[in-house]
Amino acid sequence: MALPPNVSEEVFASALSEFAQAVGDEWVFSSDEDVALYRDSYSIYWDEPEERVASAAVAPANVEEVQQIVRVANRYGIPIYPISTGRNLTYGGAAPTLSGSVVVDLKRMNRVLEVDEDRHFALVEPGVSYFDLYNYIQERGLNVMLDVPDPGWGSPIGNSLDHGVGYTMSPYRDHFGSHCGMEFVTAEGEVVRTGNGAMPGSESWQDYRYGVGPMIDGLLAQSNFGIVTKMGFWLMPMPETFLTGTVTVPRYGDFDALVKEVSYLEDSFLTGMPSFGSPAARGGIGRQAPTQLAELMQDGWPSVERLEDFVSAQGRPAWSVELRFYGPEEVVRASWEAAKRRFGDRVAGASFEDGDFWRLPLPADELATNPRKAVLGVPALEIFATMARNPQTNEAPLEGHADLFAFLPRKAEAVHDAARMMSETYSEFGTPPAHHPFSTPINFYSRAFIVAAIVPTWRDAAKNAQSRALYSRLIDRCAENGWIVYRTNPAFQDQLVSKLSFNNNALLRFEEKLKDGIDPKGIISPGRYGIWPASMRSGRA
Amino acid sequence: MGVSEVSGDLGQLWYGELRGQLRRTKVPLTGLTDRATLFCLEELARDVDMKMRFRVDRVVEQGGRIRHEVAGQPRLVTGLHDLGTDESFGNAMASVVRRIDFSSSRDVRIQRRTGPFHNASERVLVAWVIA
Amino acid sequence: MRVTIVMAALAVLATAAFAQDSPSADNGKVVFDKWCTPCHGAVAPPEMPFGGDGLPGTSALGVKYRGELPAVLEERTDLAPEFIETVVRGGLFGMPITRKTEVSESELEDVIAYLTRNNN
Repeated sequence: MALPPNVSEEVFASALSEFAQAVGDEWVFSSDEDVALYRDSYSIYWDEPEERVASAAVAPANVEEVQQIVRVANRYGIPIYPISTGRNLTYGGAAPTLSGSVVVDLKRMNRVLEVDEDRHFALVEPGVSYFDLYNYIQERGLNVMLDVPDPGWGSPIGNSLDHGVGYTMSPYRDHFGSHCGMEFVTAEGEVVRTGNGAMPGSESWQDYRYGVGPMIDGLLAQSNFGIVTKMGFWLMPMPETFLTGTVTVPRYGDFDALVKEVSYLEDSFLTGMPSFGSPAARGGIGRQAPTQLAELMQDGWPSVERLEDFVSAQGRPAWSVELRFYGPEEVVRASWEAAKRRFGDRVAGASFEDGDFWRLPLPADELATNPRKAVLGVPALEIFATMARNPQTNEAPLEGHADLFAFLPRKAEAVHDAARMMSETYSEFGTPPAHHPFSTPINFYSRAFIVAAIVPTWRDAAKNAQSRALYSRLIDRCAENGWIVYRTNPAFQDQLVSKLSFNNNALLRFEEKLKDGIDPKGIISPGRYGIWPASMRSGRA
Repeated sequence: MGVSEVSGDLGQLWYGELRGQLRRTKVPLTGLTDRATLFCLEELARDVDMKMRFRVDRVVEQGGRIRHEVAGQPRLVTGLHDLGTDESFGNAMASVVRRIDFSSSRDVRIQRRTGPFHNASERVLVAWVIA
Repeated sequence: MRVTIVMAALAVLATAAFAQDSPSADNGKVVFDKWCTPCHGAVAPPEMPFGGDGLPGTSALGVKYRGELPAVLEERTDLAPEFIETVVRGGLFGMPITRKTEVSESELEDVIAYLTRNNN
């Protein structure tokens, strides 16, 4: 049995027995077989000594039990690591940041407390998944739309606390940004409510999030200052219709104008999440299907002149963007017309194609075969098709992945620079590059672009060592360019946080002072996003 | 010839040892296991494009009589009725492997011959070849 | 010719020690629909993103079995209970581990009863 650091077997046994008194024997997991269920399935250190593994897990059913667990942990000095649904795959899954921690599995706290279809919000517990919340809304026929990340088994609370993102209109795509009010348990076992929830009898906890005084909610995200037990989220009213249209622009050099106009429309709330593409580079240069693009890149990154020639030779437009409109039919059609006029005025040769038009909500049987569930706020797991065994990977399907999303300013130049950096770094490691001069950004977060690297992980130490080296180098390279990686696996959190070095890491030093005051024994999620308790800080540069 | 005994986690044997070896060089696997272990191994073996070629299920009937259910090329059955679980088993199975025509097309029916997986069949041992 | 021999006296994968009532295939279908269908169901969009042919699990098994066995788990008649349990609790390729707070031991027994209901 694994033990928490600096905790004897006797002390640990006493703590486990007190956990059992709090939650019942059935909900304390300490056998090797049960603890193994808290491994990170996609660990980039699978089966190596550095793999982050739990010593035990305890699953409370309500906030009172969470308080008791925290008090026991505090008394015995046991590090604990809360998870909500434990499905934060590629970012650590159900495994703790510090090996030997006791995972506090909040999956049993799975109540949807309220969904208000007139004021458009939900209040949920951490064990509620997007599937659960969606089903709750469907069963009651409530007139609201969710904004979901790709995998529907995640928790709205867990996802937003790791700054997760979705696919609809910009205020909702930022899941932490659309939260309103939370309840959390401190390291000392006290229950705190933020915003208007701090006033007993307030009926506007999910309507006004600032309350009075500092808004401390941000301290609970990507951190270790408390265990969130309730959280409110603003929801979009169910739009009457959904309409898409695609704009294409002919030349490589038109990307700059395309980006600026898309930003204008997004920031005016005239379109939902834009989706960029490159018809000229159709198919990209996937691992299995080298195309003319690979030839184009044989002698290094091509000049703009060569790229323009390449586009002409393909006979297809250089760039495209799909715009997605939500609202009454008159409004979405007018928005699309306005967008066409504006692009037409600004980019010579811009052309337009109408896409889907659906009345919402779609009936369940139509949704089942609809490939665009995420943009309609419908949770699914279809994204896993990207990594599932296919004819090319038949003998060695991917066993996991570590995602690296670099946030860039919304500028054409930054997108090309980031694609080039990714491509050159991949090549340096002998890995066929997935990025190329026609790589397009993802617009999950409306105010920034994302260029993504999906690094494979395996249940094979030698291959994982290669993946780690690549991933780590990408973090360095992003930082050299001032591009922030917004979220990462525990294996890389210290490295990533070390890049926030303005004024001698003043931000991290400030967070450490908070940690020392709020959680002096450092029991909650030690090391999460680089925030270590004082007793474990010595190794930090 | 490598011999492995499974007494615990079949996954460890597969992922820790066999899968890597078989990806480098495919050699026939043969063994004597219960049905459930064999099913797991058969599923795993598909990942390196190896499938069941031949199996003899040794069913213990009421009164202790042994009945053999054979799936695969019948001519290979000769000599298998008195399989031991010691060296003679290895020799007998090696002789089967030598006689299998691996170039012939695979018989899908052999792959579908799996369970049943109820308690009474826990005592069934299967001698098999996966290639 | 090189041959590798595997000897196993007994399957040692966990058994249903905690199942008190006999497993219910009916409840197994409810659990399967909630936890397994999003990847292993039969109904999928016609063109999956990124070229998948069906839901991720079904599509992957289609590639694996090449038509020799059904890709839809609910159509199988040969699944070993031990294998189902091993995959659910251990994960396999992109499919991650499923914890007991998600699918309890008795619910897993029910899923096994459901998936093996038509076994020979």
